[in-house]
Amino acid sequence: MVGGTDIVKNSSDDVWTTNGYATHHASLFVVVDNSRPTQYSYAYGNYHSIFLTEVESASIHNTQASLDSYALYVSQGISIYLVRLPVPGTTS
Amino acid sequence: MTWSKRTVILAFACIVLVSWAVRYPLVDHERYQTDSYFIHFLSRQVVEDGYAKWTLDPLSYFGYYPISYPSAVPFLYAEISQLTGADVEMSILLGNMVFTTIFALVAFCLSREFLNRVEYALLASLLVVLGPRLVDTTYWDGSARGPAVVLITLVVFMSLRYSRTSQMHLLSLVIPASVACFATHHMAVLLILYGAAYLFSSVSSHYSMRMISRRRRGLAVTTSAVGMTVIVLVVFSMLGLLKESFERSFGSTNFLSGESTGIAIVANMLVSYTQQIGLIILPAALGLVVTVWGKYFTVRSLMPMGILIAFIPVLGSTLYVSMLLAPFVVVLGLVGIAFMMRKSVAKSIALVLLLVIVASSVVLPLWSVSRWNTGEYSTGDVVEVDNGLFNDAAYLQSIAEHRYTIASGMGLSTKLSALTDAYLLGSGVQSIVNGDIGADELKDNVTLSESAFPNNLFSLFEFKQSHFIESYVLG
Repeated sequence: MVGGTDIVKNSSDDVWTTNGYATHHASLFVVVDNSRPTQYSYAYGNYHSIFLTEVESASIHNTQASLDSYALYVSQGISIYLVRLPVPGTTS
Repeated sequence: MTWSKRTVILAFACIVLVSWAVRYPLVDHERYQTDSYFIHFLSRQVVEDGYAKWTLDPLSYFGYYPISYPSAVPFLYAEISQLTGADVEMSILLGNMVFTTIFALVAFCLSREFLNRVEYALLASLLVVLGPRLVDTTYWDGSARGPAVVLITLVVFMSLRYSRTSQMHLLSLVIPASVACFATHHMAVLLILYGAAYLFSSVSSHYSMRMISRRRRGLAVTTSAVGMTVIVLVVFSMLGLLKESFERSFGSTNFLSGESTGIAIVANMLVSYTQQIGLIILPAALGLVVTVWGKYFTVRSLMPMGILIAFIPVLGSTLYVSMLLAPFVVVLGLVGIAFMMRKSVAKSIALVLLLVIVASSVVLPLWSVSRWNTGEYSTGDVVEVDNGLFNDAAYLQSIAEHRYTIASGMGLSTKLSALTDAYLLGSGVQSIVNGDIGADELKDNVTLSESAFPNNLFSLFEFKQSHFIESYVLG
């Protein structure tokens, strides 16, 4: 199953320019809603997010390789992580 | 009894005070609704940078250029913020109170076009500004819907007054005000429906005048109303729009859920509009009958009915339509009550009904706003924003100013965009403001929209290379 950072590593540039886009944003702050730590809220519902699972566990889901993900801040409402995406051309 | 000018002004001032009291914030912060924090984000960007980064083309001011948004309201809140020194959140609160005051005046003036007695016009003004949906939309909420409703109703009033008096200065105001409507919200396209209603009223009144001489006036207007309703229903049913939007909005609600039969849809629609406009909707039904069986017909007397008919195709969009229809539903309701007041048998019933309607017009918005404040969106986001988010935003601001950031949901992303200078990634205007998409990249890749009707009314062009960060956050 392809999901989370696999999409970044393996996709070719299409209309969403996933790979190139991620390369330009390889280092990111990720803000997670603590009430739904592994779900992405989009439009009218919540969906399970492999990416957020990876951010929380600091590992890439199907390889168990480590993901550079550091928790910087945790409050009652949110957590903030600093994440480096494993895109081609960047070191992890 | 004749009301002196001073009494009318005093009564109007009381209406304004009541409308402010109903909107007095019992929450600590701007409420979270779909558009509010997005507008907040845009206004804050204008305040901080001194210009709007998303206005790359004249069409951007109207939201008709890709990755743009109707800009009047963000500009307005930015102006209020810069003039008063208040932050954008407080500017939104102040703006809401100002819009409410203007709308009370517009509703009063508009009602005077239809109702001869000034006390009825005052009552109309009160009932309109206390409409539950309008109160919710202008209760510490930055959404552009509130200002758009005020402006559109103002344009309709000035157009009607111009058609009656031919005062040229009104025409010179209608044109810029109409342009401002389009710069405020895409719902300005609904002005077309007011034009259709005017056309219907004109044709019907001329037709009926001829029939009156033949003692067939009631039949004349009934024929016109039924004819127009049938035309509208047939046209939109053929396009498959009416069924879908009605089923989506009224197929299953808190009132009647389960299988969405035609009866359930109509019942749910009536309950929904009553909740959003108020109990005045009940005598409005009588007002329609009185209009049809009146002694004479003019464009003005038929206009409220014409507007209700013209809006049938878009009744599924209650969030927008209920506020636009409210002034005309209220006028029809008061026509019905005025009719009852003239009949000695029904006068006492009319007085009791009026008392109930006025009392409920204060209670209903308070109840519904409280309900909305404590309710949850399907994503789990709540309307009342917690103080803790502001502490979180302060921390994020300290570590992520002008740094790329992702939030785990659209709601959280929008709120943090508004409250911090972190570059929250997104596929819309955020990407232009963040510098994620360059002006040249956008201009070089704009194509004509392939959206179908009616979406192409709001989206003339598109930018297919739009980034979509959610593609891997979702994965």
